[in-house]
Amino acid sequence: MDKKKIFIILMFVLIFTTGCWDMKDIEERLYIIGITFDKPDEEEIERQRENLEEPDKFTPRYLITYLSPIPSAQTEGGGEEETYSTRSITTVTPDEGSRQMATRIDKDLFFGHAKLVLFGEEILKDKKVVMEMLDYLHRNQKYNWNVLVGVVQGNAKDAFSINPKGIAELVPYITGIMQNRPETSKVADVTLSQLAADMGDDGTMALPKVIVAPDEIKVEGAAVIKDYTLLDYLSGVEGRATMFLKGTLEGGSVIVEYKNELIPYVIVNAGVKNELKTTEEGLQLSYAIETEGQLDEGIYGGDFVTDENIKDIEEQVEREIVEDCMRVIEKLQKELRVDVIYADSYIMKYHPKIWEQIEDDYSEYFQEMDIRVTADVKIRGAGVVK
Amino acid sequence: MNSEEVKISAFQLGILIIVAVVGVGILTLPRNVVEIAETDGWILILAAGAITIGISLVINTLANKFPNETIIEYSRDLVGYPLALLIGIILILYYVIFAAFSVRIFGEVLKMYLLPKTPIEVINITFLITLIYLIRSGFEGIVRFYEIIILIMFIPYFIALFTGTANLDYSNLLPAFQTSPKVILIGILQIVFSFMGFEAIFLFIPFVSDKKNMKKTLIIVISIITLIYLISTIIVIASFGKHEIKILIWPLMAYIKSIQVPGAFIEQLEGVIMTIWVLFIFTTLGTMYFSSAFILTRLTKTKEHKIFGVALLPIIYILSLQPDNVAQIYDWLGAFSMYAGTLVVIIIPILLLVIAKIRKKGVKSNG
Repeated sequence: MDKKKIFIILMFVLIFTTGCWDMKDIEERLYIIGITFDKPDEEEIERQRENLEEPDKFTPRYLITYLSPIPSAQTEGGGEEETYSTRSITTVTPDEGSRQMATRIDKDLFFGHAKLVLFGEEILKDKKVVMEMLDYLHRNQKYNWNVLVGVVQGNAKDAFSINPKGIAELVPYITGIMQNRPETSKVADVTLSQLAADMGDDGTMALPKVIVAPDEIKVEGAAVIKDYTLLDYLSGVEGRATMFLKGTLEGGSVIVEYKNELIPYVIVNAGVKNELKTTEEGLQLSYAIETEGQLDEGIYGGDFVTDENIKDIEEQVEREIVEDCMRVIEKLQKELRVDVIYADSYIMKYHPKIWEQIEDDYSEYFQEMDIRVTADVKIRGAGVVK
Repeated sequence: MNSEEVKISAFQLGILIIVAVVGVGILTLPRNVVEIAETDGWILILAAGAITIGISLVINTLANKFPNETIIEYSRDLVGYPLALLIGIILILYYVIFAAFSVRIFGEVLKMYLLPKTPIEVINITFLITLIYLIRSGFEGIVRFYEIIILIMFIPYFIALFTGTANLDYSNLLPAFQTSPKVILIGILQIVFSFMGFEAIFLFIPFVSDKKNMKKTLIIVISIITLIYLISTIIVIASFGKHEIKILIWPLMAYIKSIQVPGAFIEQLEGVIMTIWVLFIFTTLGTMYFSSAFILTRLTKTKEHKIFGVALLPIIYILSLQPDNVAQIYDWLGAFSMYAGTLVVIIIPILLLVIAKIRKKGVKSNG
């Protein structure tokens, strides 16, 4: 054979084997784009037990719901048709769920395109189960690490059974809300890799809270996780205060009352500087919040935009921020006894000598710590109306 | 292959060293340094780089004393035939075992990220057979291949690495300078083994035509490797923080997996990086594999290395399948690089240089 023939054969091989990754056609896969974890219902377990030979050995701990889009419905664009389907399964371990699904559907579950993982309230109350889920989500390379995570107040499964108006695709709708951070200060987006980095250390972190209504989803505030278990929720305002303290705020607003009118201060950027002092009473940690913003609404008519008014509003906003922060700090210190405002990582990074001494009983030190907050607000713009 | 026939430039040998050193180690390096010195890990890399430069200069001085001989010949002159034979055998074993480890780790990583359903035996054997093709093209062919491929390796690697830097928290590198010097000193040795592969200059300096540039080249080349390691490690630590890194087997891959390209439709860059990483391992293994075949030709005083290349394949293949699991691979590799690495990279060159000085052997040179 001359070289040309070999070349042609090789080119054919190259062209026709490219993309043939594991001999599976696209329609043989079930693309999972959303997944929820819940604690299974006792009734449901009982019902399933009746069909089993050894009912005592059947102790499922998870109710997993997979959401997958229906490609045909999406391309044809029928507004009436269902564009996604959900399937639930009760299972012993998370990974076993996808294998059990194989007994019910003819397709392979594929998680590479997953966008959203939601946890139900109940399942986050068992430390062992939470650690198992964390391990499952990270150990195997099934998931993209940019998957967004959230905690649903109530059953996570319900988030996939709502019917929002004018929304064709459910998962992009929910993740879109979570990513609205530059617009509102009350939501946060946490990815799987952030979950691993924050939670991996001591099991403490704040996750976005998802509230489910019959025809819409609301993402506001945070679920506080301590020692791998769900402790409590923070409201939207409290969530905003923690983001002020963490320095992760990207936008949103603070509404203040000024001369009997409600004026929203729109945050353009915000940062925080920490300082630690050791006093006779113990540790004193200060948070200096610096933020710049603008007034998009004011009082029509009259001289609203004056130097004096602006200064007054700035002060008012500062007071509001400090009050919010102090309230949430008190809640975290006295009530929840958990540090989700990165005080620990600040001390660890910038004061390693002190951290060494307090590391082991950090929880107690945190409760006793004298935390102070100051805010410096600068209003940079106020529109074109005087 | 004869030292009179084949000539390469110092620059070409420099490229060979870079592609030979950067290989399997880079995936685990961030974890290794964090395990030893927490956030001060980057100091270890700098220190280990400096030590490697020192050792490579020792080898260079030795090579300059015997301009046309490899370690196999001049060790005969220095310590006598039996000991020289022993050094030769140690070097062969070192390269063969090291190659086996590399093939196995390559197979494990590829299976994890790219080919989940392919048996590791198949991955390993196809890879080794491809390598034979490279080996058979001879030393000059290998060096030319490396010259072409180095850009294909490092440009996409750094592009991928830097796309993720927008969202990093560099405060994760703090606190700095908190590790005691003692811990650093003990740790350096372990990190020096991440530079293993540069000792190929034992064998290849005689083929360099412009030996006067060798010293400069070695310093520059090992500094570049140190820099590659340093940048990768700093980015990975900044991305995960010290706690998370410790629980990841291949932190660099995990970092690449978590990259979010802002506003782009591309995600899951690990597929791209895996493809490039295949080349990293290909060049590392190619050098090791060729080195072991080359030593065999020198020991047996034959000129044909091709037959040895084929003969070594089943040995490397079988050795590569010996460890039972990933944990065992890294346990064994740790022990192997500790003992064999110390012997080959540190003890043999220094010992030979001392003997050469004492017995006043070799040509006096400026090197």
